[in-house]
Amino acid sequence: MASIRLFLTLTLIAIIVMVSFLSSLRGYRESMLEADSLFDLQLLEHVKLLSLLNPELSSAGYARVVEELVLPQQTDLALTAEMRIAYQVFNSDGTLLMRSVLAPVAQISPFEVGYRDVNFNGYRWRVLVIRDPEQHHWLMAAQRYDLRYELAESVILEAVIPTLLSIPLAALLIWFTVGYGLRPIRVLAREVRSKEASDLSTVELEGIPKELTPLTQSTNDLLRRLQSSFAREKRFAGDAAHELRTPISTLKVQIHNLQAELADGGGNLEAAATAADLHQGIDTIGHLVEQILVLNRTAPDLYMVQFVPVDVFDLVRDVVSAEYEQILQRDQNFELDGGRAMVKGDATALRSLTVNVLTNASKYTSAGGSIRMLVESVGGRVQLQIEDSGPGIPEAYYERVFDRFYRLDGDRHSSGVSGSGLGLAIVKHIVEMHGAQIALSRSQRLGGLCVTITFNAFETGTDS
Amino acid sequence: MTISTHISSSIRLGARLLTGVVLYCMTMGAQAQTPVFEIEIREHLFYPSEFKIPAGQKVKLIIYNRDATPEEFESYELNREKVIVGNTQGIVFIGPLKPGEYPFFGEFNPKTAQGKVIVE
Amino acid sequence: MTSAVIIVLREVLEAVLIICMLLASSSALGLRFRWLPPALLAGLVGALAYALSLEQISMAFEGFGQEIVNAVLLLMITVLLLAHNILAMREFKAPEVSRLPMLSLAILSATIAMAIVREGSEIYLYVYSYGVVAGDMASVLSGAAIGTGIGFSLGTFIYYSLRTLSARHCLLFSSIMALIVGAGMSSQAALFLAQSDLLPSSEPLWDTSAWIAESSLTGELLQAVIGYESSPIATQLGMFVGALLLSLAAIGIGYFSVRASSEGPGAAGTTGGRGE
Repeated sequence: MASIRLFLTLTLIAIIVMVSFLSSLRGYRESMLEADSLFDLQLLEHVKLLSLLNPELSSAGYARVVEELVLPQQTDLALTAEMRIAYQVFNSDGTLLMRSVLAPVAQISPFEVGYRDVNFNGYRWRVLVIRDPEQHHWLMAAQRYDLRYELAESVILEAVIPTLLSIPLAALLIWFTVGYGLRPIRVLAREVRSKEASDLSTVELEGIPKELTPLTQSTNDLLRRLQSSFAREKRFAGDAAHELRTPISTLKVQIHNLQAELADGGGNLEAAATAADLHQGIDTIGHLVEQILVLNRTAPDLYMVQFVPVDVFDLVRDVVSAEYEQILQRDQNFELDGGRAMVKGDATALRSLTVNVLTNASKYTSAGGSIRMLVESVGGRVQLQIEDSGPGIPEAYYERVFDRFYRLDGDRHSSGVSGSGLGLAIVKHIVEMHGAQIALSRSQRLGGLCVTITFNAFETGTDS
Repeated sequence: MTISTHISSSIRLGARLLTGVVLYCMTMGAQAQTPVFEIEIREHLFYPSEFKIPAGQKVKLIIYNRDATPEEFESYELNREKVIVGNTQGIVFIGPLKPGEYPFFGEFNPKTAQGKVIVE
Repeated sequence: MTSAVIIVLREVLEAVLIICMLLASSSALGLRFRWLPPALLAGLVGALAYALSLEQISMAFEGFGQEIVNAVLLLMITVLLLAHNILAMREFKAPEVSRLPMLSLAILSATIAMAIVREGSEIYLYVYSYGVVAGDMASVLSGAAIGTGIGFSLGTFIYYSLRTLSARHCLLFSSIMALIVGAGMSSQAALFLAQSDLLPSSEPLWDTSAWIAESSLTGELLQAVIGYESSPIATQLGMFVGALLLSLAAIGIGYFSVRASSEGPGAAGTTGGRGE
């Protein structure tokens, strides 16, 4: 059953059609039989009248031909006028004594008493033959079948046609009624469909019919369970990361102290190297925890903030000056082009996005390479592009690198750089949260990776 | 091959049809003697509207439709139905049948185009 | 008007029965209904062509063109229903395993188109001759409307009753229906061939017209479904039983062909599908 509405409409119309047509048909047949017996009765009356006449042969031996009586206002009675009856009267030896002008000279029916059907004058007739008991005359009266039929049918059709014409109307009414009756389902469906991915609030509808109450109840139950499990997940990851922050800071301080003590004590180079490794490891853990926190804060299905107008170019410049040290350390060329480009978004999240793409580019570009960033506002769109001269990413991995904790070539990247594997996942989340698109490609200019993020521009109305 | 001789001979005869007369047609040289009967449709009526055929024998019926409109020769009792286009003729084999009356009618004008075959 | 009802209903019933039955099994075979409009159109065009060239057709084959075309149409529908049964049983045995969508589409479309050619031409002739030419529009049209209405209502019921069943049972039931309808049609074909003296005729075997008259609504319905004939001849009965047995064989072939084709990947079924 593809559509409830179609099913209900079709079957309901089918039932109505079936019932009303079959009863019409039955009524029609009964009425026809009734009309037939009425017409037969009319013939009988006519023959009885004939028997009252006492026709004789004219002096010349010709039968009398009786003209039809015609009413003056024939137009009003066209049908009755056409229902004229043909008759013949024969004497007992079969000589025609009298006939109506409609009847032929030839005998219209055999001399057998009773009703019968015969063909003459190019029509089929209903004939009644009766023998007059006194003069023993044969009295025959005939009516055209087709006219009888037409007259009866025209009367009965008057009753049948309205039924027929009302069916399309009924169909239309049924279609709309069924549509109206199914409206709560449509409303409910629309309500559920229009819910944001982040919106796990229950569905509340006015006046839900009792057939739908179980459905809304179970939907709401499901939503509630989903909401609490989401909340639990968020809280857990957030709490865990948060809880880890303090011991990691403590560890950092302690390793710093340890390194200072080793330096003071002088000499033990091996221990100093181990301490340096340890320091780097703890830094990585710290970074990972920070990233997890960012990811949790920005996951689009949980994120609910008021967006504000942000100038992406401004923001990029800020981030670059903060991270410039890293770029300098690696002796990389950096270039930033573009100008003011307003988008509506969350400044912290956008900053985190920019930091991630920039540090990614710097990390995977060898020392002495180049990085170029471009921010431009083109026709309602704001593009943030970052290209590098690094090894890039094979096209087949473009989708997968956005997965959480996915790192190209496993843990040991060919660049020898360690990372959390969360950077691009965070970028993707923030992009989605802003309704923007991210695309990876090979940089035409520098030969490495080219990341293009396209936002909807924020129209201030005063922008030229 | 017997069919073709039947048809050619009956078409020749059909041109000079005698209304209401039952014709026994002896086909030239054919060993099986299938009797041929002819009826006409005029003004949505059958002429003759009654005719007799022998019992227990297959019979060839040629129906001439003299009207411009088509008619369907139909009989539930004979189990026959055939549309005869206006101003053409159609052939229907009927029987063998048991003695009795077998009504037929023109399905397009069932109220007036009626007739019956009397098998004896 | 009753004559219009009876004529239209008779023809519509048979066509509607086949269409609705095949629509139901089409959805059980996992096919969309997009094939239906072209099939309907082809049927209507064919019906019109048949009606318009009826005079030439009647004159062909020594005056028995009409009977021969009717018998051929009926027998082809019977054969197509047989093919449908094979496909339906394959699906019944192993749902979605060895579907032959293109072949099924071709069979379903052809069956429906032919059913419409056969039934539609007569309706057209009647309505055109007596409604349009003779000018008896009111009674012919209301009769035709009643006949069509009853026919389509029955069709709706048949379709939705089959659809309430599970896909497999729907296939089973429509196969059984196709089996009976096909047997009825081949018995009608036998009658046409007997009428034109191409098959032997005999005295009727029995006469049940006193119980169910062929001209009654029940009679019409039974004729459309099981090919009811109140006074059948031996040839008809033979054809009926023959078609029934063939159809049962087709069901058997369909049922047992899937096991074979699932064992050997290059079985007949797959090549048939690729042929389309």
